[in-house]
Amino acid sequence: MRALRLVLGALCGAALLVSAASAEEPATCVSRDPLKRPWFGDLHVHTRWSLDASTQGTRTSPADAYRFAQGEALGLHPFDADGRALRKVRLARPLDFAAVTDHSELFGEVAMCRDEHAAGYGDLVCQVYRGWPRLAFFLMNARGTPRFSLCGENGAACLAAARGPWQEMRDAAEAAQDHSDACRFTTFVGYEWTKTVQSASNLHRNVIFRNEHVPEVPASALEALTPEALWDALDRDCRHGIPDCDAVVIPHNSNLSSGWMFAAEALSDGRPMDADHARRRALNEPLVEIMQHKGESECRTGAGTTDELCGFEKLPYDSFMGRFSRFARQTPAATNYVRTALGQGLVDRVKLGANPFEFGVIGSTDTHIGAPGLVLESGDYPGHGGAGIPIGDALPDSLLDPIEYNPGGLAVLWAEENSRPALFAALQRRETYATSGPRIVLRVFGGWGLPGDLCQGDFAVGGIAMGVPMGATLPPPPAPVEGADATPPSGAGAAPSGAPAIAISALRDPGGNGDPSTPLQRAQVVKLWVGEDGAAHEKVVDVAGDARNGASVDPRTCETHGDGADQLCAVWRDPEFDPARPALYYVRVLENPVCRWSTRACNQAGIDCAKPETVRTGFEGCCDPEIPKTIQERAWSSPIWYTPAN
Amino acid sequence: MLSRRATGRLLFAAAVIALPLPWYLGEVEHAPLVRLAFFTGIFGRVLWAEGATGTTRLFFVLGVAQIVLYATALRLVAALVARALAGLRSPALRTWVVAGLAIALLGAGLLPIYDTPLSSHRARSSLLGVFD
Repeated sequence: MRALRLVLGALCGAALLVSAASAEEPATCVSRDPLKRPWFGDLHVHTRWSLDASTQGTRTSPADAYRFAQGEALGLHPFDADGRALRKVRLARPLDFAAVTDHSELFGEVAMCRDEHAAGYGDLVCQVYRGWPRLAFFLMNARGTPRFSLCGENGAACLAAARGPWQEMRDAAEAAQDHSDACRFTTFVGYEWTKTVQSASNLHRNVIFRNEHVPEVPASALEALTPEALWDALDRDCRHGIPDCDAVVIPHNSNLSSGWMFAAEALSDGRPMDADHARRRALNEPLVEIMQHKGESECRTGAGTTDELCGFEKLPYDSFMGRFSRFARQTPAATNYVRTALGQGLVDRVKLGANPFEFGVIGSTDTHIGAPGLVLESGDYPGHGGAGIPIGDALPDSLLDPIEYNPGGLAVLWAEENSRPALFAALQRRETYATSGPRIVLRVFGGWGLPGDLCQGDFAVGGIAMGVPMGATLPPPPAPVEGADATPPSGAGAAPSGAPAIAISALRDPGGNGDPSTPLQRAQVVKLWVGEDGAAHEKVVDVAGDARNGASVDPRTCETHGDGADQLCAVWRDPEFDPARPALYYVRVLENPVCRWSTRACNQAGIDCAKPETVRTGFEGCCDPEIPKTIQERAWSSPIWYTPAN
Repeated sequence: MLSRRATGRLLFAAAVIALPLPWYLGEVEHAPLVRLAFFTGIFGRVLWAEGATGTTRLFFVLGVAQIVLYATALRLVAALVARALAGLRSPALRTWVVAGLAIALLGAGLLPIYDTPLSSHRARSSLLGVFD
């Protein structure tokens, strides 16, 4: 064993040297760590420049949002007569990075309707915007093309006016970026491309640029009508049009897409997916947002899976129409979910020779109050707005968000330092994971030679030297070597020799500054593979921790009971590995149960479902049996793929 | 003294102005028909000025349909109540009852009894904020 450690140490040292020498970005930060660190942030943030945010009373500017992300207090509507905010929020723990991603479609219209010197200020549509903003939300938000007449011929006036908000977003990102070698905070210029199809089925995507070199005007869904057109625009206006410009596109809310987000055809012309299209999609869209304010998109119990942990933060409808009309509600199908798409991607690789859904995962908030990282399951949760509940001039005596919504999640990037080049490279190589809010530290490696006692040594050093990180594809299996290590990994069971191992390390969120710290319950590996029938199959395996650890929470008091783990670590070798079958593995780590935000808010409001007289208007959802009282917060890793050589 | 027809019209007008009714225009409101008519009018104006595109047309049609439905129903109920009141022998009493009903409706409307999620100011409104 000692000899093995020596060999491992030598290998690691060599790997680190190589890694440092071939690093993609120059060392700029004093805290640079070649073993990489997890950086916590939010890549989905709306401010006053998004129509839906501004028509709900959000006044937060992009600069305000970045200040909030760094720990400053943020005033929220309602405001008093003197413009003072009547609510304040502050992050207990600042974020490491953030991107303001306002909806680009109506930048110009919003700017013109707010600027009394603008040509279109007196237009009827602008009068509605200022006089009846909630009505304007429905009037303007889902209009599509053509633009309103206030925009002039071909929308030229609005496109010109859009430069104002866009420039403000760019300036705010530059101003908030820590350009010193302390590298305390990173910003990305970004925006949301906001397309819906059919009955408000969601195709929304965030565009995150590598740096400050970005197009003069973002390509919105009013000009780039399909995802393919968006990729074209990014090629034309960014990658081929501006030196050093690059971007990643991150789809979100596939749970609201009625299956369109992961459609089997090109949306531009309806042709079935082919290899070129699949490659293009994977290149442009290396990530998907799996968790946010408007629900979680991993999987749904009963929709193609029996996994009982897929009931987490599910919306009871499959498009935005369902949010606004109960009559239009459709139960979401399996095709709405990331797990299904990941499996379909494996099938497509076999059929087409390319995987269109080779994506890693992140979480974010999709806040529409400009409060990145405000993810606490708190009774004081102010609601993130958007398609949520308008606040008006006074706080309503009700829940402040639709009860099926949640505070959102976080994006976590493994990178050597907190700088734009390092974080953007992490996005591109998918070395990312998502959490539903807690700052769980999750590290995953996959490899053929990962030793079974990796958890007893230096996990990161060994993992880097002998494996690939989350988001990567396993290299081809090595040829059997005589006398190789035969130490069985934990939980290996009857694993065939030559099967890949997945090494998992998860650390409990330490909390702090008032943020809670909840013990970990268990870690699971989710394996997807293509079966002999040519279809995708799945298996979920507990690999560390204990599902029956006795932990519980009393929903009446939100007091938690029972123990859990501060740390979970395991090396799991796939006992059913078939080298002829494409497969992927991702990791899900669960905390012990805690009260959901709505349970806390209902308790604070004195709602007792046993006493109907306490259930006031606006709190009816507190007693809805479909709404869970408790949740298990969690983290999801990006997958590690295995592709057979043939 | 109020005629039966005038009684019906007065009750109908009071109901249109003040009776909270559930209707849908993106959000479900419990508010008077006059508010629905006002908002539908806004959509109509935009429709006229900007042309018939998806959501504007949808909301306008939705508004008009609900207005027609509710107006017909209210007119019918008002006529039935007027007919019942016509049975009262004393015209003065009839007038007082009608006036009392209308005043009660309008008076109640001065309290924040309407659910108005489409309002930019308040989730519960009174008649004073019915056009907000």
